[in-house]
Amino acid sequence: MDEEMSTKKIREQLYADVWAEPMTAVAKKYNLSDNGVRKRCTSLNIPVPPFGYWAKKKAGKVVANRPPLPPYNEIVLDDIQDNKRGVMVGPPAKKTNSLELRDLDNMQIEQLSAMHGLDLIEPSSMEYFTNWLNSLAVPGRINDYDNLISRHKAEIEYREARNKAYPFRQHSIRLWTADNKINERDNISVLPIAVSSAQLNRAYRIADTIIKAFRKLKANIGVGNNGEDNIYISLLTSTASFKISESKTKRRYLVDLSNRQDFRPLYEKVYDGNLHISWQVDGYRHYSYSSHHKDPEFNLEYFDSKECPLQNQISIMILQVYEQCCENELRYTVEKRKVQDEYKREEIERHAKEEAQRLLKVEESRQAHINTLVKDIPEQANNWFKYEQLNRYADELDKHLATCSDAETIHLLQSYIRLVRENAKRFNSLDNILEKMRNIELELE
Amino acid sequence: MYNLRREISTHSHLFARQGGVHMLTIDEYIAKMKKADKLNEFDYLKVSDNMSSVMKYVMSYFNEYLTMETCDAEEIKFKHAIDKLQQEVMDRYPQSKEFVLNFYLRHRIRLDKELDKWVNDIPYFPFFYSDADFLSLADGFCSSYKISNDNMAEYQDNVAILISEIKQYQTDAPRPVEMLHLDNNIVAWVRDTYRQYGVNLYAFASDLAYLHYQRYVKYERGNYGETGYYVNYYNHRYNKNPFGVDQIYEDNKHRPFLDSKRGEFEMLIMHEWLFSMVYDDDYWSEYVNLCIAHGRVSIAKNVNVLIPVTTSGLSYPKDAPCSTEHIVSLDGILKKAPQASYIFRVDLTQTHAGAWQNTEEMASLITSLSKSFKEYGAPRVLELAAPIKTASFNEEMFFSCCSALEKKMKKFSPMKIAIVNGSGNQKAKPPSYICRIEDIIQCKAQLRARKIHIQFSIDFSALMAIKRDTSYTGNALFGPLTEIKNSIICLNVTNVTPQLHHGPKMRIIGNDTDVYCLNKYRYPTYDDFYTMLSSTFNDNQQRYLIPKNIASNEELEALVDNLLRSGFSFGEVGDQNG
Repeated sequence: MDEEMSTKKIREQLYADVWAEPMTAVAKKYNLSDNGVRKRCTSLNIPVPPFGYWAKKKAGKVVANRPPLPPYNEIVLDDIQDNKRGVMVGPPAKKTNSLELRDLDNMQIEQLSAMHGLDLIEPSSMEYFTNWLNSLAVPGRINDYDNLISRHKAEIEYREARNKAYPFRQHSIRLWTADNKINERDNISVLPIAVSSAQLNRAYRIADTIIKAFRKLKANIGVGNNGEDNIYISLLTSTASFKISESKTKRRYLVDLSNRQDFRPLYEKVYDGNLHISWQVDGYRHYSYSSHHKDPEFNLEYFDSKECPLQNQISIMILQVYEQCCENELRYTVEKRKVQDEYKREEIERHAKEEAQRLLKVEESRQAHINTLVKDIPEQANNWFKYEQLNRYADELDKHLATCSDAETIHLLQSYIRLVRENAKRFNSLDNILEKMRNIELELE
Repeated sequence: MYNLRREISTHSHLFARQGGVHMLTIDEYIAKMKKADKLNEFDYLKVSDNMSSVMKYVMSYFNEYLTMETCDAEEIKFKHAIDKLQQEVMDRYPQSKEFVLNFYLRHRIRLDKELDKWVNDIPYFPFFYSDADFLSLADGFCSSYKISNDNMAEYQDNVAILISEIKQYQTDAPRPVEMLHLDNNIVAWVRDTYRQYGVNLYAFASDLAYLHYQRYVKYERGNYGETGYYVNYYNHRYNKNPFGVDQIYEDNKHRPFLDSKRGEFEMLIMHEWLFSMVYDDDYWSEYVNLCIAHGRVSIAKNVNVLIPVTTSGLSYPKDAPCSTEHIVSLDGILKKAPQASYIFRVDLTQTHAGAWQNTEEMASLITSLSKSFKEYGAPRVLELAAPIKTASFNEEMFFSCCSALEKKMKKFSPMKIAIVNGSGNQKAKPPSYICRIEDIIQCKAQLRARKIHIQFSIDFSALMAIKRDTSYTGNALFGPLTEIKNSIICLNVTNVTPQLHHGPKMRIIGNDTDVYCLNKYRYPTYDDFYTMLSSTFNDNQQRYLIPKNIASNEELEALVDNLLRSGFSFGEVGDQNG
């Protein structure tokens, strides 16, 4: 909760700052470059003034109004970005729909526990999200593939050329040739697409559509550098991955045995043109790091069929993966909330316990002081009586002194009376008693 | 045609000048003088005298014998050429001897050599066999070959005969040792073609394979020069048109020995290629079976034919049609009618446990069997489990029972009888009488000696159960089996995990030379149970395949696939071509 609150405060502060003064000034305040501030605004979904805003304002011209701070979890699935960096500049030209996620911070844990999957989406955004999903389609042709696809193409081309130049590298045999135009190296990890050349374009279009759709959902997508082909899609608090393969069927099930045209063995497995995608969504990450329990992965499989080719299943695929990620997010949040509540309760209990212990100690100390004081009462009483007695004696002597005329007697007697009174003071423990009582009262406070 | 006598008369001045006397060469002159002087060069005491004599002979030869009047170097050279030509032509081209000589005398041209060189450039010259072929070639040669002061067309007939003799001289008879792995029918075809047409098809195939070898097989060294490899860059496996056979056949299918023999011809080339060029003999059996399955050959027979037998209701893949079932009985009685053809196994551990050791019990078993067979028909094979080797086991009694069984079952011919080996697991006490390979060999010898025609059904998992003995290698098992393979009619096989061989294959060629062979197309090679099984049999005999410990159709299909890739084929009873 504290981290979330600070994010909220940070956003509000930064939003106020960028609309209060130019970016360069704000950058100095945060000790960043202006580009760094822009990037921070992008990641926090904070609209920034359009270019030229401050110059116009200084010149006294009419400038655009400051737009309201949108929710942090807002995702815009339509393209309204009008600059290459994708920073939201100025107020939108028209009101657009957006996919908003619920603000879970303000929800009770009972409410959160009752939510599942797509309940994470604001009800008002559901129609928008559904429409966007239904609009997803694998295009027949793509001119600008995602960078991951381009890298895959290049890597596959390299691997084919390398395997042709070094056909025996899997046996660790490298033949000497005068001109090795191809540099031999190990595979670089790229997207996990294992299909025949006949299906490669289709696989690319499908993968490209999936990747771009998840990028719109603000997923972080990349390929891990572990030596094997892979992909990770980090969305909310989950990580998903997929693999596109083409199934193989034994030739005996594909050919007409009475009219065999090729000269291949029947047991040979060949690509049959049917693609399938295997998805894996990791189990939700536990908030509590002390938990060693690992939730099982969530697996999804989608197969080509005559009735429903794979490219027609993109919408349902993304929906189910996204739903699982939302489910993981909810479980994560519920657990986090529970853990935090538990922590707070424990803190309160601890404080209460400490307070109780402190009070107990204070009471014990006070009681110890009282006991000590009580133990000293007889002595104090005796001392007081002696003090009184001596004072009375001194008073009596004073009275007698008044009757004396002899100067020496008077002097000597006065000295004696002074001694008696000084001696009497020694027995006056009232101050000490009052001090002790004062301390007892203070402890009680 | 020209006449030698006429030519001699034309050149008679040469002979008259010498008086018809043969001009001696220097060695002939020395020999003549040596003989006249009775010189003995081995007389060590007269070394210096002999040396001086020989030097005198040499001096007198050049100073006295070989004078300008007595010799003409060019003429002598010419004469010697004639002599040499005569000798060669007489051996090689007897019918054309005079023609070649005359032509040489007339034009100083070795026409035989010219033709020999010319025909080598004729595509498919090895296939030429008829007079029409040779006449056509002669016509072509005479049209293109120009000589001064003469017309080659006049020699056309002679040239045709000479060409036919050249062809005959160039063509060796096919040697059986070259065609070791070819089907007998194909070998017969090659031999008949040579006998009838003088055409050696295998030699042509061999030359063609060698041409491809020169073009596609390279000797290359490893990157650090430490190892050499023969690398095949030609993709011969599963190739619909290897070595350009389609074009060769198209160009020559009019020839009677090649008509409808495209596949067989391809087999000749492939045989040479696999066994002599690239050492990929693992592919041969599978290749032959594929050719037959695709109808590419008509006279070859399948290799390693297995007749599938079904057990426990399992189904074979459609390319291994099965119509034989396996029925196991404890008492020798068929309880119900078999569906079609069947193999009947009697487990002799229960009702007729003493059948191998007691003639009465054996008679009782025979009675039960006969009754069942009369009612339902005899099986293809009657299998009986081998006896247990108890302390009182009597070998003679066992063979007597075998003999009795065989005699009584003869009426159910063509039914075969086979003994199934027991387990080699040494924990099994008492063990089976036939549980090791040595037992099988010994039993076979005993049966043969007694003229008992009982065969074997090999249970490989039982045989290989002796695994703890490290000396019991694959070769120790499969090597001896080759000796008795004709007596093995059933194979009981489990689905063993195939072992892929990694790395290049090492071959020993020639005089124990080790070479490493690589294929650019990285054909998978296996070094496992199935390849050993295939090379053990490697014949055209049909055997029954009885799957053992197979739980599902998928497992059975995997077993079938492993057998197919190791060179087995599947057929039906009596069908040699799958």
